[in-house]
Amino acid sequence: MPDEEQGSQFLEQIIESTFESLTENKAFDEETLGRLRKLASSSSLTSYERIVEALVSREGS
Amino acid sequence: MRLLQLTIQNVRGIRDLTLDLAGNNVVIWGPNGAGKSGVVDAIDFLFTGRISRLMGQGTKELTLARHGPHIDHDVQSAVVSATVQLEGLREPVELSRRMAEPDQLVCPDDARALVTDTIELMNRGGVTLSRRDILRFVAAEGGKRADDIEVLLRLKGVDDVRSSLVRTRTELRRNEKSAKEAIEKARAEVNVTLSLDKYSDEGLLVQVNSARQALGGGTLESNTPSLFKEGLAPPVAAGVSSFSINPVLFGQAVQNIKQKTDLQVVSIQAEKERNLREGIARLTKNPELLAEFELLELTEQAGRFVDESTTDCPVCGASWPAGHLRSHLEKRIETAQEARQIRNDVSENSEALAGPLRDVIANVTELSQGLAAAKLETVADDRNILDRWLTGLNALQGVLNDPIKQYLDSGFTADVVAKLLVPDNLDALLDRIEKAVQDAMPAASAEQTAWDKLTRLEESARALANRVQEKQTAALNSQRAHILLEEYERARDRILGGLYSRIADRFAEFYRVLHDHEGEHFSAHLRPQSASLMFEVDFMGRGTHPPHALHSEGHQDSMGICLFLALNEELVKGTLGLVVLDDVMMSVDTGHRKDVCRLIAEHFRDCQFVITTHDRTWAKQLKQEGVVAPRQVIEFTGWTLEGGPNAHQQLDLWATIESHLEQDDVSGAAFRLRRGSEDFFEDVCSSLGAKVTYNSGMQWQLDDWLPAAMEQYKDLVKRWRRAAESWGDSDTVTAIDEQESIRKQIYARTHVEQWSVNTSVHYNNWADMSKEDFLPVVDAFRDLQGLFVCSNCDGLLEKMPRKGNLEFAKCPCGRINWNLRHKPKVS
Repeated sequence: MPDEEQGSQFLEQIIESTFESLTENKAFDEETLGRLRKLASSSSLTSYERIVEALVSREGS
Repeated sequence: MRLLQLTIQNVRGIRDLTLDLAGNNVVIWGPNGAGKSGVVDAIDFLFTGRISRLMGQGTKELTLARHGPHIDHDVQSAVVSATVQLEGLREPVELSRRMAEPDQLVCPDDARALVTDTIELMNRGGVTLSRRDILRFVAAEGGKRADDIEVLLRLKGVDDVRSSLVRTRTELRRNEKSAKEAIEKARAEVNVTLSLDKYSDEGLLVQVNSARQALGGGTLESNTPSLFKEGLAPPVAAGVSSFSINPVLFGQAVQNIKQKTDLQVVSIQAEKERNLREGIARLTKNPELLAEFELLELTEQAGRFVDESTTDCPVCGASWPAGHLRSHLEKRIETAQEARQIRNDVSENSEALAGPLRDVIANVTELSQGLAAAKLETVADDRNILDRWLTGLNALQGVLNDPIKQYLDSGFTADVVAKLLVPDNLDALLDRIEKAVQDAMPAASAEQTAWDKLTRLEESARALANRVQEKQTAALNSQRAHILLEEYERARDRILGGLYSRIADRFAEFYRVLHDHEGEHFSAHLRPQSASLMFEVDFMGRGTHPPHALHSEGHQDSMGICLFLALNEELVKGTLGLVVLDDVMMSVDTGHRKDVCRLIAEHFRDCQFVITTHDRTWAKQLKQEGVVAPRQVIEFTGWTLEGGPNAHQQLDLWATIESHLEQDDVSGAAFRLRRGSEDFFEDVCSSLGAKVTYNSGMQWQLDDWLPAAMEQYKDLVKRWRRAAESWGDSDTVTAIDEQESIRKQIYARTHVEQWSVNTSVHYNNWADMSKEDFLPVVDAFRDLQGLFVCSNCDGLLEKMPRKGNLEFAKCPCGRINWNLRHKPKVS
């Protein structure tokens, strides 16, 4: 995500809430969730290529 | 952050100006063209390195370098600097920015991180409110408002992430579609060996078991490629590779092609091709239909948000008269549905063409690979013809994957397609090839053919199984992308919904402070509708409407202020904030301006307001209501090209008088005392609601203000005393009596009774006094003013309520609090 958008409290809340729901409804395995969380923490959720990569990767799953 | 001092040199109409803000609220007032907005621009420039006024719509010809400096001055001489107090640092810090280097904020290293938030907020427009901003919040179309508020609240990232999740879903859906197509292709390849009209798992199992039977093997229950040859031994002389030619299987592929290119089959395909071409042409030659087709999903989605009362388009935010948007969308959806029907027909006809094509391609590929493996020179030319045909078939297959966008422009005319489906002399070509193979290759035994068949089926069925597996994975990925997007949107709606709801509630609370006659029922709604942000307010309990629909311009202005303050509050979250209100009260009447003062004083104690106005009354109100201290009222007058504005910052009255007296300037001190007292008692008359004798010249002097203020004061004290007696509160009665005794002594010391008779005499009396004679008068007036001012908050004594039955006389902080209500009598 662009620098100027880093730290947007509302975006952080939305992402956190999204992960809570994903964890609750168990739609994702741990590895995939871990990869997505990593993307979120590095502010990379605006890169669709990296999200695709995180979703399709089958390493360890 | 607090602005303690601001120095502006050669910026936007200001030559050289230092304002002593002392971290307090300040009002800068003066006529149009006095240079007030130059201060706003200078603050803007100091923190952001740009001047918002020189940017945006209609400012194409304006540049910071050319229009930022004061006229006739260059960027080198244009500098803004400030002393600020930052939260977290004990000592104030110096900040400055030169217009020659607008990107460089000169700032101590340890303070840089602390000013970042203010800079960032200012960059987003969260600090300064101008009349232009009010319009963009209140009267703007929903889409534009959404954009502006999105920037202010830094929500762009929220949309950016969503866009990337939407793109992810689209990409993974596309992958799933490709995986489905790959399965069809793999089935066609299996079917080359099966020679069925259409591939089926059952058909595969039957033929596998038939081949196994020919080789003495048992029956299998399932299509597991690794088991196809289980328990079987290759026949003698077997071992040919899967791409070598088994004449029987080769002949079978030839027959497959002949069947698939049979005239009857091809005529059906030709009809499908015509239908396909017509359907695509209907879509592409009708721009409206094509546009609706492109926007089909969006239109349907928008339709779900729209009912008869909807006035803001949820997609683009454009405003519509009630009911019109609904009927407009219904018409569009109808057109879109027609487009959908055509699209379904196109898909059906495309698949009807592509299905047999896949089979033909698979069989021709089989022949081509077989001939390549067998290296039959006698049919080398025929093999080239076969390969060219294959290339054409694959190309046609390619455009059929996306027929609407590609088919008509691909060069595949009806004639070309007809020739591809059945090339000239195809049967003769196939016969030649088949004969050449039969002549060159030894005849295959039934066992050998069964073994070769199982070999090919094993390979192609394994490939099919892999494609099926890949498709399942692709479907799972696609589903996950969908869930991810859905959960994100759900979380976004919940969190932003809560945010907007908080802002709307706070807005309504602020607005009720300003317009209490609209009552406690006044409410507001701020809610996102797709790309739009709908803002509606209650009108006199008659339902909610856009703010500019029924409310006056003055009400809209106060709504803009309230919405801005509600947004600002959400942005700064209780941390110290700077708020600049740039001449925003134009349409708000005097009564409501007072309420704005109350709003600022009561709800924004932790903010520092810099307010500009051309209106003296508003400037005075800000002072009278305690929003700004007298010292922070700065008057701009007499702007000149050479000198910029003359700024008069009202110094402390008593310090100014003292300064005059130190220079033995009794006349100057007397003038200051008189003018200062006039201002002061005018404010007192306003806060106490004193009755001043009307004169048509609309000019009043000290001998108008002071007696009226004193009379009102005495009347209030009497009411207070009588109220205390009614409650039997003897302590308060005693305190009042003591206070009254002091008041009488002070009043006598001012000789009010004497000089108030004739202003000129009085003025001259003062002017003729010596310093020693005059000092007791100064002391007496200081004490007299002290009667009306709270020693704790410096605010003026005020009667409450302003209208109706009096209940209290109190100062803003409440330390002075006279109860004027009598104890109710028991009947």
